[in-house]
Amino acid sequence: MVDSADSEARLVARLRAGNLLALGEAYDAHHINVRAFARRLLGDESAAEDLVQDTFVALSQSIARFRGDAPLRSFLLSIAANHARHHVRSAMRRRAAVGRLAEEPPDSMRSPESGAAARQLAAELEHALDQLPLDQRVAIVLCEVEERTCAEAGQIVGAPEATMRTRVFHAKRKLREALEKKRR
Amino acid sequence: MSDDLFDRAARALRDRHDGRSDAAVRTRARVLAVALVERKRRRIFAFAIAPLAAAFVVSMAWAASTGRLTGWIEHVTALVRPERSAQPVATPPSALPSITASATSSDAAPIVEVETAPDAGPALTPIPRAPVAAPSRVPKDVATPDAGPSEEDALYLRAHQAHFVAHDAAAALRGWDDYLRAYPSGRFAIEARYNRALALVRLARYAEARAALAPFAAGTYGGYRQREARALLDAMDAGP
Repeated sequence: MVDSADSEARLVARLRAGNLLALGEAYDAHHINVRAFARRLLGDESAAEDLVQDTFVALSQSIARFRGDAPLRSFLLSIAANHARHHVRSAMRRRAAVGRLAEEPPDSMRSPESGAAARQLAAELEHALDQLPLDQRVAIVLCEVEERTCAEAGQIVGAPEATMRTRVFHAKRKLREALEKKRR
Repeated sequence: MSDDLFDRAARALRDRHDGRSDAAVRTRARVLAVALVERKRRRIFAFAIAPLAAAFVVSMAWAASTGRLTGWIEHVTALVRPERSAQPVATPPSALPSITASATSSDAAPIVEVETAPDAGPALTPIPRAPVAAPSRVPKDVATPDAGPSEEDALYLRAHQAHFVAHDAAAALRGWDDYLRAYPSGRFAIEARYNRALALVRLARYAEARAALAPFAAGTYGGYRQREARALLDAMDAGP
């Protein structure tokens, strides 16, 4: 644990010095977490990949602000959340266009026994997420999808824990209604 | 029931995206390429553009403090739009207010700050010649035989001839006024203002001369002729 903290501190120091190899190492260590968050938040592979790129490019410029009181992974997620607004819009547009072309999914997609049912459910949640404001969307992905505590999510987005709870509460209510409506 | 549906949907979304992607390697390469370009851009700014910008700011501040900034701006404007630079000179002299016409009333003078002080103070005995040698800066391109002088140079040269060759104070004053009216921020505006002040001294128009010399004595134009201007003002204050 101490070794891990030490190596992260050394990595941060090299990032601050503008070391490109350090940026590559940071990418190798954290790109999966950042990409998973981006994919869950945006629901679009291409937009998520763009957000991953923006996040790591911004890391080399934002690292001076990193105080070290949270893991580098959380700092990266906070950068991603801050850069998500533009990408959310493009992902929503793409998803809406695809949705219009796929009004009637093939029968296999409706089979409850297959993995396709889970994919369908995930796709419905992604569509429902498009109805939420960005802060609620980020809150629901961090707290409900990625199962972080509200305190940790608040640390990532720079908001109090109580605010995160409120956002999650309102977001869940809206998403429940949207999912039920879709199922009727 | 709905909570269960939501929970299942959240779990499905979590399981659907685990963060692995075939594009990860390409994205890594793009991140490093963009970061490299950004780093080069910042270095270029730090080593080249920032010092140039600092030098520019310092020179502009110096020019502003010595009153040359407006002259530079006008010069650059004249280079960009040469047809406009000649416009003030093309104005018929009769259409312009004349300094010499108001030789007895100082408040009618059209030249900016050197003319703002009202006529005041007792009449003094005329000082036959200004004690300080006036600057004899002559436009270089006037001396070039095959390149004709510009309008600005010609106006300056005319005043210069009257002042330093013909020693005709009244004609010199008219010449400096003509120049300053056409080019209030011209390349030789500071010299012209000082020479105009000397012409006023020679013509015994002391109130106007004091007003014209005051900015030089106060250091408005940096150290240009500051000591001489103070000496002249002291001489006029001492009186006969």
